[in-house]
Amino acid sequence: MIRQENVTNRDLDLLCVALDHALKPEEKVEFDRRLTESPHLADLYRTQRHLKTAMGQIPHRKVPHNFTLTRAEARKAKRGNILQPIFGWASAVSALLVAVIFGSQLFFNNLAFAPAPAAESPMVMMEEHSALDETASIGIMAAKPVYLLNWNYGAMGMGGMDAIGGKGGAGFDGSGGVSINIYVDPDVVYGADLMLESDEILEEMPMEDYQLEMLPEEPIEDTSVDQWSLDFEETPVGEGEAPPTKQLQREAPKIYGIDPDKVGTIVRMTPNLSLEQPEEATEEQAQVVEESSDKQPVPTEVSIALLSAALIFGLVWYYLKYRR
Amino acid sequence: MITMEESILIEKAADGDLDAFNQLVMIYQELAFNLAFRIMSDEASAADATQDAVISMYRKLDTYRGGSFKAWFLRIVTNACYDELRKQKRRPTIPLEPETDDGDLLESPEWIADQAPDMEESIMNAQLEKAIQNCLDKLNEKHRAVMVMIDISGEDYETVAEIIQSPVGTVKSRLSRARLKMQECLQNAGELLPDQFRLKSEEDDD
Repeated sequence: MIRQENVTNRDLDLLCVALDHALKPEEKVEFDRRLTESPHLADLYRTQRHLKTAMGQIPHRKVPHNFTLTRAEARKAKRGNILQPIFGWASAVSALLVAVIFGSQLFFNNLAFAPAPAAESPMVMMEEHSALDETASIGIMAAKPVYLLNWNYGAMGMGGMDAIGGKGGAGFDGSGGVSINIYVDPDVVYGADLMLESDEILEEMPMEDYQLEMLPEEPIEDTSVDQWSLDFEETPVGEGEAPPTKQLQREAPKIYGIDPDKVGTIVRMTPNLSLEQPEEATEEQAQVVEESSDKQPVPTEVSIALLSAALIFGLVWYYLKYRR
Repeated sequence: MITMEESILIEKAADGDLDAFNQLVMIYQELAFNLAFRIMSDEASAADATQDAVISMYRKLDTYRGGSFKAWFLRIVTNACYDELRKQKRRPTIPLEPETDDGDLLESPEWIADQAPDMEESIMNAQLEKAIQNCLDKLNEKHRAVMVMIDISGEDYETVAEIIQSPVGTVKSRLSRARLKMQECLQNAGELLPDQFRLKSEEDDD
């Protein structure tokens, strides 16, 4: 290498300027001092002077021909000059429109999804359907207590003690009677013709964990219900003692009959209402998704056309500017 | 500095006067062509680049906003050379002239046809020019352009800074590096140089 350790960058800068005779007075003093201090710098200065002299003596080439323009060439040059900025602007405007369209779609999609974060897509909602059912069921049960009425009959009229604790137990008691569990909605007003006798109510508890329902195979006429007399006692949730018996003048609960063969059989573990509300909710969410996807301000075809135009115009502009 | 005559020509050319424009071209075409030739290292390519620069200047004349017209035109020429070099890199060409294995021309028809009175001096100049051009070709484009404009064309730092649109400090640093590389290159190819142009360090070594 030409450069050595005792030659600094500052020396090289001064050397370069000195070769062109452009040193300021103070720089000239500094450079002369460095020349005396560094023999290598002095040698470098001599060789560089020879080089500059040699390069300055390179003869100039004569032009092979005049580079003046004819009228036709001038017209052609001007025509290209008009087209190039047109294509350049067209490309820029197309690209800008595409960017605005995609940006606005992205923005409005985000806005549409913000209030309904669960409504991601129908496929996702389908996958989450079972989870929604469970949560909805629990939510409904928690919000609306369903009371379980144990009702029994038997030879001695004292059966049904085994269905305790709201666990939906049902079956024959020790005296050979049959106990059944009936859902009683506390919000429903039952008929006034029912006179409940406290002796016949054995247990009534809120449904929390399991629910037992016995559904009849063949409904029987409502008139049969009128013949029955039920004692009804409503016990609030969490209370150990039964409140005083009250006579309800309400509509009679509909009992469609008892299938003796299925006594003690768990027919359904969840209330019927559990599926309705989540399904409605998911349908609404799916509609929101479909509407948001259908309500695109600019069709996709237009976006693609603009993008293609931007690319084509840009290529033409590039050709006119650099390739011609 | 722009002379009065030049200023009038520029104004007329900007108004669409083709004759005025061609007069401007005649003033600067030799300078432009030599700059292009030293950057391109090929006469045909230099001519193409110069012609492109002239056409480009004609198109852009209405964008000229004063200042050194020479620097403005040489900037267009330099950019045209860079574009031409990029084209050549994309589409490398094979010269028709016979070459040695090292890529050097076996003989130059121009030198043979040269009618210089002193044949020996002409040959020495040709050898010097060839050695310098070979070393120039080994520099990168930016260093080469700065060195050609200052050491061969004789432009000053300010003009070159205006041409390459960079600060004067950048011009100086590029020139310094270019000169060091040139010196190193020429020392490696010292035997090609005529004696009177050999570098001092080589003479000392001898």
